[in-house]
Amino acid sequence: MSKKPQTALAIIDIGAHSARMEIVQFSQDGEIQVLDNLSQPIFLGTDVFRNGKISASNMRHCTRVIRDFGTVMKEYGVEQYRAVATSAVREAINRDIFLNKIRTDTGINLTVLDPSEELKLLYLSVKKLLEKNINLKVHNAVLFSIGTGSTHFASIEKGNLKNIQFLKFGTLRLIDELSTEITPQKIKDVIDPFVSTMVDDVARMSPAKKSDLLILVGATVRSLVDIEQGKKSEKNIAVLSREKFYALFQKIAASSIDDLVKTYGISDPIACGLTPCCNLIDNLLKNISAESIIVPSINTRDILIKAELQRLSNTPDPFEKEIISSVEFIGEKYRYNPEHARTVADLALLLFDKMMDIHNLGQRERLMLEIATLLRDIGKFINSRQHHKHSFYIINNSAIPGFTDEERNIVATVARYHRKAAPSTSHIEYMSLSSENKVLVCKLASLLRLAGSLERTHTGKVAIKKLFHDEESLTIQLNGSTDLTKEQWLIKTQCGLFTDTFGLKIILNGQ
Amino acid sequence: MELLDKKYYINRELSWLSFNARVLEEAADPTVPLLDRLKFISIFSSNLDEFFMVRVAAINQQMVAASNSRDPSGLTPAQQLAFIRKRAGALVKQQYSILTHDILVSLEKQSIFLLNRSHFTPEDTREIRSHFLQQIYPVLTPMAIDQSHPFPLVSNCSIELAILLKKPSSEKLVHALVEVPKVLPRFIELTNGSHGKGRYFALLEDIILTNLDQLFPQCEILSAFPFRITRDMDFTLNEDGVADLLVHLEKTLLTRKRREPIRLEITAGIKHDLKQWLVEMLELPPESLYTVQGPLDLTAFFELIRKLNTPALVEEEWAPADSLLIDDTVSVFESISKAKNIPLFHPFQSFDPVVRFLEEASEDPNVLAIKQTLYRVSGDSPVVHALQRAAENGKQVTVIVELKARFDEERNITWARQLEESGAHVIYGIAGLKIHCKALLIIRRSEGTIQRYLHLSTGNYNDKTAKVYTDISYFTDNPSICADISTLFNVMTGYSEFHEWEKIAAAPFNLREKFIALIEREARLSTPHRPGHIIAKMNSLVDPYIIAHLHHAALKGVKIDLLVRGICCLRPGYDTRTITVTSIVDRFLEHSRIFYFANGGNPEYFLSSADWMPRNLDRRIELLFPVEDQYTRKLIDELFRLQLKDKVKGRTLDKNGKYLHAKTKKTLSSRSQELTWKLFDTIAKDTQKTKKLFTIFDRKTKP
Repeated sequence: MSKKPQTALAIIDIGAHSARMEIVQFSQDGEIQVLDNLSQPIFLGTDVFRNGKISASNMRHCTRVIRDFGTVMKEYGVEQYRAVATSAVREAINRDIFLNKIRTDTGINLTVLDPSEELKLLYLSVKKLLEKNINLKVHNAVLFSIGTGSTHFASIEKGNLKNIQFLKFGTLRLIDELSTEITPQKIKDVIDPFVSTMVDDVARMSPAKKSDLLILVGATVRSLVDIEQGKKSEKNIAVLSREKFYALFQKIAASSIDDLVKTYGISDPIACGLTPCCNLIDNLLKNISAESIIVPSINTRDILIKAELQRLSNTPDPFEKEIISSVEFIGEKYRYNPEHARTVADLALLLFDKMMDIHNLGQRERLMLEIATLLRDIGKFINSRQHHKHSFYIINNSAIPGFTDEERNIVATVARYHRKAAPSTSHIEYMSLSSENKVLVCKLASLLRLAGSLERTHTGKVAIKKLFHDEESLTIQLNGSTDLTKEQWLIKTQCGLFTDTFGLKIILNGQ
Repeated sequence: MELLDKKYYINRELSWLSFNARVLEEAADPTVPLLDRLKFISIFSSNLDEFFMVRVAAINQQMVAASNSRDPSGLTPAQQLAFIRKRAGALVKQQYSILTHDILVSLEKQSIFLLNRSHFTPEDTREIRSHFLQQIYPVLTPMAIDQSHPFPLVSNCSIELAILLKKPSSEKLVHALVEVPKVLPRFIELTNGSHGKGRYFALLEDIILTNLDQLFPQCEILSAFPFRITRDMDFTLNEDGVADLLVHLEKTLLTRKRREPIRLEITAGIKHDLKQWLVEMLELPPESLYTVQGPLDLTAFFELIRKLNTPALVEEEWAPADSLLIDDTVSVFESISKAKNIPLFHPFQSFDPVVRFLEEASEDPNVLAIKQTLYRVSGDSPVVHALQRAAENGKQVTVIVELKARFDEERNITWARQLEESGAHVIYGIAGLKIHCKALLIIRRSEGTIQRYLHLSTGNYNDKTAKVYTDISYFTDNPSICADISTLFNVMTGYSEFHEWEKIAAAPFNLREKFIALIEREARLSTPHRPGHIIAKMNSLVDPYIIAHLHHAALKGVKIDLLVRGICCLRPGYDTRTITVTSIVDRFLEHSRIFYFANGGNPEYFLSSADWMPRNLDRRIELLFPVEDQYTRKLIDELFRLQLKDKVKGRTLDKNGKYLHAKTKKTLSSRSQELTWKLFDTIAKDTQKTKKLFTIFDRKTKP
């Protein structure tokens, strides 16, 4: 570890059914020492999954719990912390009011963890944990993170992240949504068709059927392993064979919740969630040829700790490659032209890099430009007419790992402005952006349009020899091309946005 | 596990009375210094008062609620009460006999006299009157009882005077009561010199009785005598829906005066009709009346011992030894960091390092937080002062206060309020659970790293009782134990639910299961070739299930040595010969709870705040923690060895429930408390012996 935080670090994780806090510190060699570990039951799941919003009484309860956490943070002199809310708060209509109340009443800045960020962090942790034992490059793996309120899915082909999805399935979610008085039999009756449809959908959309590795994470899955082994597993990676799983499933299905709690010393929420969890695994095993289930020992807090450490140590995001890999998967899904998309993207990135002093943007924005360029034409899958608008819609409804909803919206809007009309006050998607993001969209869309204009002929032979600017104009000298009529015309019609944004005319020179 | 047959159990009340009988044996023992014997007389009374207030009261309530229920030894509440009355009556008779025929006579040989009213000289009477008018009269409130003045509430355990008098104007007889004020000294020294050399004391009630004419001028006093009632104090708080436990407890204390009377004590030789009137007024059954042959309330003799202040008549002081692991020239933090684990065996070793630890923490700028449980603390406690200071210095101070420590509630409320005012976060226990574990956790940051330091103990954070109770204090910075205790605090403060502990066990979460698992493991590993071995030291052994498990382990050949100071409901000697029960009653109150399990050659040692009683295992927050360092283990081995062969102050329980005292001339040198004191004294002084212990310490604790 190049740089360790100066004080203890707190990670707060507000899930659908429990609030947890871990306080850790780091030794000089980067070892993590857990100082304190708190958990309290909370009841957001029932509120949100049944009524869509967090009730006043549960808001008060959560405030109290988080205030207590704050007290313990003070006892350890914690200055750095990350407090995130996952599934239930994420989906609550009144989440902003909830977050604001927590902030004003407890002083703790709670943020919603985007599922794509959660998945990104999870993926990186799993990969790191597995790398010593399992070579992901020779497998087609599927990864499920099964929570009490939501489940994340990712397919990893030969070590590359492909399809990702966020499912509204949780081990306790159905019980929350239906009723607490429902009988176990009824739950089974409802869960089975629900889960099988869901798994079916996932399988159809992704190459899950070819998969030979099933990786599961989550507290309920871990307790399944513990029950099977008869003790708390101390291994980082546990393996559960098909046979063992089905034997266990039978045993669990035949037991009452009370029996499960007593026999295995597990908590009530975990016990209630065991059957739905087994049901999901059963359906997964029917669709996947994997012989066993791999259960790495990872929880949200662990991955957040690592993410915080990475952020504090200021090292580059190791995830860009994975993002592009899964963006390419989206492209493939909507039958884009990979070669052309890549050529334009490279050109756009070249322009971006050469014009740093003009746009003053950073790495993250560069990545946004790359993704917007790669995906700009996927709307053609629906219809060539107005395809920029279809691209906007598809991108905004696809999961991009490691991207927040806000970032994804910027990417979608940039793609939307890759052709036709420039941003206008009559466009809702543009007007709903913050002023900062409006400027960002204009800058990135300008670059995208310029790259598109230069590569419009789909020949891939454009080569920029020289690029320079003065106060009034940007001059681009191209290699090996004499007839620039078409490009000149395109720039004239498409790149008004560039001039409006940067105040520079574009002068195109051949040789 | 099922309970055993009743023949394996001893009734808890009778066992308790046996314990108090052992206290009385100390008072009767002529080899014990005179004033120490008087102290045991006092302790016997104070113990018995509490026994009536709590246990007899509880059985009385049981009589009403479930008169047919039987205890594990097969007795109904009525049978128990009958036994108690018989045995307690006999013991009290014995106590007064020892006091009046032995101790007071011996004191007179030392020229110390407790004067009877009939012995007052005219000079005495004059001195007494003057003292009465100046010091006593202003505090008294005589109350006449008639149709318009009903029988008043009589305070618990205070001495009252019942008086029958005739008013001058009429022939009518009037009853009156005067409370002998608790705020005044009970023993008044007379200095008029009319008796010659020596020290002469009069009792407060006698002084008032001599001056009744001042209280009831012109009345004729027909008869007057002192009496004392004991009330049911076994109240349980109904905490459901109580928002403020503190306010609730204050209210409950106010109602204490009105609790049911359980016992009426009067001095022998009182005229029948006034006694009869009193019994009727108090609505007491005749069996609640106890007649004593001497002064009431012998607990007050502590005061006389203090006033006499005669070192020659008490055992010499055993000065506490220093611990070599605690370096006076550096902070306690540094000593802990260096030694890792530091035991302190109180009172053979001083409690001062614990106070110093807290005081240093309160001033140390690197200390972030202090968390502590407080059960019984002394008045004007240095512990509370240090916590206040820490809070004022901006540290996060969390104190979990047990308000319900019996009979200490009023004191607890006072300092709890003081702590709150200084900014400490005071938590008043958990509804329904008494917090009995003793833990002090300090969080400190040095060079950017959080370090935690712990002090755990078998005894309370009370600098006063630490001088007379044997307890073991344990400092450690073991990260696993620190993490466990942090979690325990989070559970006690309500910040977190319980999940799991690595090293410790705590009631009411998993302590019972832990003890049972340890006993069962010992039984499982026991072979004829290598029998298991359990040594358990505690104050009381009552829990019938633990007793059943111990019995089954004994059947498997496990050797079980029990050091139980007080109640022991386990009846040894049926079917098995491997259980021994030893009780030590000596100058220090045996209070530490220590548990040893041979574990097939890989022994485990634990210290705990809990006795093996249902209340400790089910209704209190109690703590069990391991002792993993060889130094402390070695000292515990030594302590056990000394106690198990103590024939001077140790008594062994037999099959009939009798405690046998094998004291002979040959065994006089086996007094364990004295030998323990010498052991620590030697360790502190004799570097050779210490070196030997430290070699073990160095060799075995290095990672």
